[in-house]
Amino acid sequence: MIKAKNRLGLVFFPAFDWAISPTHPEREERLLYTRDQVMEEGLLDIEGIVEYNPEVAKEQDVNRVHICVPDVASRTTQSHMISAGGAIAAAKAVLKGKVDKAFAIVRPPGHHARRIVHGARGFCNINIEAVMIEKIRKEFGIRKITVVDTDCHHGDGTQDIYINDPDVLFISLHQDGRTLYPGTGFVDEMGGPGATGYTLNIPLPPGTSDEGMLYVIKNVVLPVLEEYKPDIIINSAGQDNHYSDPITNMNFSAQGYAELNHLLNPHIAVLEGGYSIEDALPYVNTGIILAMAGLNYSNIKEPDFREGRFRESKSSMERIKRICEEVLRVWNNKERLRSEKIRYRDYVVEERRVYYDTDGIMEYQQEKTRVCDECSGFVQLTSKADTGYRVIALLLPWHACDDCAAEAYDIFDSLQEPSGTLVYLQDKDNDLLRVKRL
Amino acid sequence: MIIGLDVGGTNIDVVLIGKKGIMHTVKKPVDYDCFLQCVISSIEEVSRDINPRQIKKIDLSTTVSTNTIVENRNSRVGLMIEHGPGLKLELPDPKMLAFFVPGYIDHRGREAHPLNLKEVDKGKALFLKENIKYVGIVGKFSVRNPQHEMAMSKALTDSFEHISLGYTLSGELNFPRRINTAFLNSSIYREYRNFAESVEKALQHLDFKCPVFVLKADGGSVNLNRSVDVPVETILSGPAASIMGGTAFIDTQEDIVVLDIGGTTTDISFFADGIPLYEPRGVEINGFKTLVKGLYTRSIGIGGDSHIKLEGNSLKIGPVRRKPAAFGGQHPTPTDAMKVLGLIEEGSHQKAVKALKPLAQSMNTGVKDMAELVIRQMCKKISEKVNSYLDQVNSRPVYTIHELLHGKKLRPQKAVLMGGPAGALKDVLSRELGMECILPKLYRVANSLGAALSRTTAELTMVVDTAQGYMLIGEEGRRKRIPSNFTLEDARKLILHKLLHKAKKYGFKGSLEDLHIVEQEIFNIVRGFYTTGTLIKLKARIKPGLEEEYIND
Repeated sequence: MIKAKNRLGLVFFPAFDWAISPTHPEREERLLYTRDQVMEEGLLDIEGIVEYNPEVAKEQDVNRVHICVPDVASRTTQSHMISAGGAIAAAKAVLKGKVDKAFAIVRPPGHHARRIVHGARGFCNINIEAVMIEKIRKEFGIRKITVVDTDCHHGDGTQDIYINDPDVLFISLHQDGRTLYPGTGFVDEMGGPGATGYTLNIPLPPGTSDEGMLYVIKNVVLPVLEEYKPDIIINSAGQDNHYSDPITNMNFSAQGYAELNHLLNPHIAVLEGGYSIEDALPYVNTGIILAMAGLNYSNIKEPDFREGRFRESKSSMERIKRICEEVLRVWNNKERLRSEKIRYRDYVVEERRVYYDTDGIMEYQQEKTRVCDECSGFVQLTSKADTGYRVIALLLPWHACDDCAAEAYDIFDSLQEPSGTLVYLQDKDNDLLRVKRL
Repeated sequence: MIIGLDVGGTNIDVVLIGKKGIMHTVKKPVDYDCFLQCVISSIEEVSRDINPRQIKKIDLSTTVSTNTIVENRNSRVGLMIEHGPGLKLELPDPKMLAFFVPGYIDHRGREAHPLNLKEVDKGKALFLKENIKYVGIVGKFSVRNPQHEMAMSKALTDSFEHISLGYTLSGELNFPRRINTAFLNSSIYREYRNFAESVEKALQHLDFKCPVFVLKADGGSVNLNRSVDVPVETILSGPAASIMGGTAFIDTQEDIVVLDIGGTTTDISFFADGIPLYEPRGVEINGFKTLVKGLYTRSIGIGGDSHIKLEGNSLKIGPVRRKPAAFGGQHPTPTDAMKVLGLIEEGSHQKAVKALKPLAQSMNTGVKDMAELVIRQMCKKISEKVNSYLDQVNSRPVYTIHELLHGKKLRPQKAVLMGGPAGALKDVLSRELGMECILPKLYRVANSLGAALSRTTAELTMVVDTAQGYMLIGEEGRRKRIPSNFTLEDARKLILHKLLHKAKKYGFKGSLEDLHIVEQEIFNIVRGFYTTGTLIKLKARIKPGLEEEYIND
């Protein structure tokens, strides 16, 4: 009888009755072959691996993270609430001590969903990890969290949500944004004035294989984690770095994914993207499950994988090393970079365009962050989408200081125009969302 | 008329049933040294004055398979395993001689690596050298494409007494369980065949010419001749016999709990809308997880003969078994509490009182109050366990949004109680459970009754892959070409037809109406942006049930 070294909670919810559209990558079939592989390998019979059903996340859980325009109900379906609820169920199993670790193999994914949600981007409506994180911060008082996003696409949604939050260190490894959706995730995106250096982006050249990815984990991620000392490590476990993935250009293998998970040793892993549903997902998921359970994964490989099939070229390895050095420079010079960002201003203002590829929506955003020494500072997001919605969102961080709180509430109460604008005030400490229409 | 016969660990129970119900019952101690003689004499006794020609069938429930495994009398088995990449296997049993062969079938049933027949020959040579007579052949994903298992089997024919092929034993995915199931099947083959031959001889001796059936773990029966090739299906048929027998004359069209309260343990099982609940992946025996379909039962270590102890201020009942003081034992048990309260007739009242007295004194209460407390405590414990297993059953993993939000939840309002102490506990248990409790009149012969009345069951699993253009009945192993316009309706018709055919060979008497599709999945296969085919998975089953013509109370 095989016994897991770590008790592992598995929330496996393939949502066999839901698709974005019949031929969309995010369709019923996506986790079918994974289910077959997991069943055939008998993983659920292993002592110490326990399967849980997902919960259904509540509107309030979503409101803690997002400003859904105009509201949660119109931007989500049951499938999104269950996917986020799956991540929550996984986290609860860990935090209640029922298991040592948990893996939520759920769909649809969430890491492209940003603070403001006008629609779906990169197949994501709500950010399932963020909904989970805010839930466990509220219910279990967890303070320091690290999210390591190993999806092939930049986790721009998670980055956006935690851009100004020093208690959530966000690290994303992904294919270089110049060659892949969403086109962001460069080293100079390093966090807002309240959390400079707590967003670390590691863009990797197309074709990066196990060797390059694991180099980054060993030489950047692990040393940073060692220093940051998070209470909880979360892995956004996208599986589209795989060599067989149809919409990306990387050369990562199932063995590499298992090894990565073993090195990173996360408390909670949540499935994100990954659309090589037959040739990658069954093997990658099996590898991650075994690695998390502390079991031998050395015999997990794709049927067409040969030792030495993918090797890092010398020039690619050099490039990866240079990127790693740059990222470490950001991490090691957080304070200096922060003052350079602030330059004695009281507010830092940034403007951006956000494209919702799944729903075809364009949004224009202005972000105004209060520079504050007492807390990470409140944020005012002004948003206009080509759907016609105009939004002003006042976002109070966790542990907001009295000044930030007073100013945000003051703005909320006093705003009178432009008429038709939806005004939101999100207050994390008091777990409330206020809404009014001008 | 039909005869039901239950060969248990200590007793042989026999029951003769006619159109008007039970005509005769016999209970005899079993002596395994002259086993055959016991069987013959008990059948003779129950059918005395009856012309053997009037007996339409004989149903057996036997512990032969179970005991062969539990008592370690099973044979050594050579296992030829096509492993491929995946979880590293552990095959700890000393009776498994494993030989690994290169080759791989993937999850869609495609050959990813060919089978290496030279290696198969090496394995065969090893088995012969080791004097192996019984062989199991198992490949990963063989239920999606059994060709490698078949090729291995072909290379090994005529060299061994028996070969179990993994894919024939179940259509379910689960490679480690498939290995265990094939192992056990080959491992008990010899003992089971001896048993079957003895039974046949005995019946010939008695001039019985009717068909003989054996009860399986799923509460259904199978023709004795057929069962010789798949003896593993008869493991753990004991609980199935008592569950089916105990509920024989009770309307089970709703959700119910079945409690079999014995001396040492209480067994808990459930019916959902009239159908007994199965173990989700298969039964487990002696640490072997198998793919054998079996009824869901959970045993808890509390029964009439459980030892009662005082730990601090609270009573602890079980799991140790003691002979009740009322029957000459040294320790207090719930049976003694029942005796004190006058709930049972047999046994010594005086001795029961004496056994409970020290407990009563240390709790500053009277003996009668103490006895009531014991009964209450026991029923409370059972009730807690029932509720916790219900919770587990109701939170079983589901994979669709529909099932998660609107899936069937088990909410039993009735409990059927069986076993010696059942009658004495009925009222208190009913209060604790908040359910109506029913005592079947004939629970003393429940096992033989269950065997006698159970219907033939069978199951088939089908995979249709129109992209690859084939369909496969997992357990039968024939991959057949199908046209690309093969539909779900075609598949449903075909599997039911095939199942009926299989069931008839097993001795099934019913019609298509008794067959049900119990699982159905259909997926579009999309490659690029085009639908290239459909994947259909079906499971059809004859659900266990009782032969109605003999049930008229």
